[in-house]
Amino acid sequence: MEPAEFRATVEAAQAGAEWAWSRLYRDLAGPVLGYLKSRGAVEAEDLLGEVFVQVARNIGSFRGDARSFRSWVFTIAYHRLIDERRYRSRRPVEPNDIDRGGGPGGDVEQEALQNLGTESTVKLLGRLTPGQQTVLLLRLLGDLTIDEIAHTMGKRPGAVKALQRRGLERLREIIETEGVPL
Amino acid sequence: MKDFEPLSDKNVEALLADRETPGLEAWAGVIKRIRQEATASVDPETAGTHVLRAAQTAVSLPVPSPVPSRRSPATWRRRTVFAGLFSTLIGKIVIGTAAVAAATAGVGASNILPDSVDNFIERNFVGEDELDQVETQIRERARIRIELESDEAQTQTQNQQGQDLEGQQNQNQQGPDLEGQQNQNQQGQDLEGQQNQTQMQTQSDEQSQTQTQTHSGDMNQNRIQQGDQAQLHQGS
Repeated sequence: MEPAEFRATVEAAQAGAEWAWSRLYRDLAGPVLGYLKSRGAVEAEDLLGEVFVQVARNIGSFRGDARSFRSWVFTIAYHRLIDERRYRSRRPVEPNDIDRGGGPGGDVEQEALQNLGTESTVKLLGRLTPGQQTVLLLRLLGDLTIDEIAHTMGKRPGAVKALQRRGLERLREIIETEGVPL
Repeated sequence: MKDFEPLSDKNVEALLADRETPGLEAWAGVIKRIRQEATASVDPETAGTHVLRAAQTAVSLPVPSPVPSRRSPATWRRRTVFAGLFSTLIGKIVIGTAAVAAATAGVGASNILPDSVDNFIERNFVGEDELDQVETQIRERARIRIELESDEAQTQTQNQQGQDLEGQQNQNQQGPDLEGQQNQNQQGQDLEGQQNQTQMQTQSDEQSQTQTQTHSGDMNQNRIQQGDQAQLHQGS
């Protein structure tokens, strides 16, 4: 999207134009939903809707270009995912969850990865540490810089860079040792 | 299988920016596949609902003000934590001071402390007896001050009286001695009284003499009349 076109779209979205929101959603909903699923969100589509409601609440204060907007939306998604995990960790156990083998004590992240499909690269990411997954997904899907990720995660840029380097190294090891077809 | 060359930070940035990186084609393929496969598709009906909710939310919200209307949760949490730490620290200091004071008083009363410590405590800490002594001294000083002030007031009164007496002296042209003046004044007053009494006595004497004279005159006249009458009787 051209800068002028993007600026007009954001101004229309601030005024509540449905066409503008439809356009922003079309550009970003897929990567954001992929990030949420890859990071183990149980009800990822509901969470995606909450992310865009939060974007709509705060879009009046947004200033920047298309790349900044993308990074900003992914930052909101990152925080909403953390909120969802905290909420689920406090949720009381329901019998239906136990029957299905789920519940708060289960590995919801692994379950979400299993439900994601047979995409090999996403499964590969699931074998990294949570920190490495977050950094690589925010870099690959959200186009966030090292500094932006460090600010979002509350870490130092050097620590984020180390997570990125170790994550890529781990991916290389898995692909080379296990012969993952790419 | 493709070979994966070790990645430098510069190469990683080039791969993520979709720039051509000679010798790193394997990495470029992996990153491209991750981006494709990690991007999920959204159900059209769900997408429509999300877009509608976002548009309605943007319309219903007021225009954002440049100044935040309330504190952020992080600020509130930080303030609460620091307030708790501060109050806890003050409580510990108070309890520690009280404990040290109690222990020092107990040990000091039992005369276990060495002389140097006792001297230090005597120099730096004041007991109830010392406080009573200080209070007594303050009261004594206050009493002395009140007495001095009352003496000064009396002196001023006497001076005022002296000034009045000087005025009287000038009027009476009498001597400088105050007591003499007073005595003289008293004497003068007595003299005046005596004079007045004398005058009154004189007047009364005169009156009485007059009356006596009148009375005697009358009596003489009566006698004369009686003599005349007797002479008349004798003559007759």
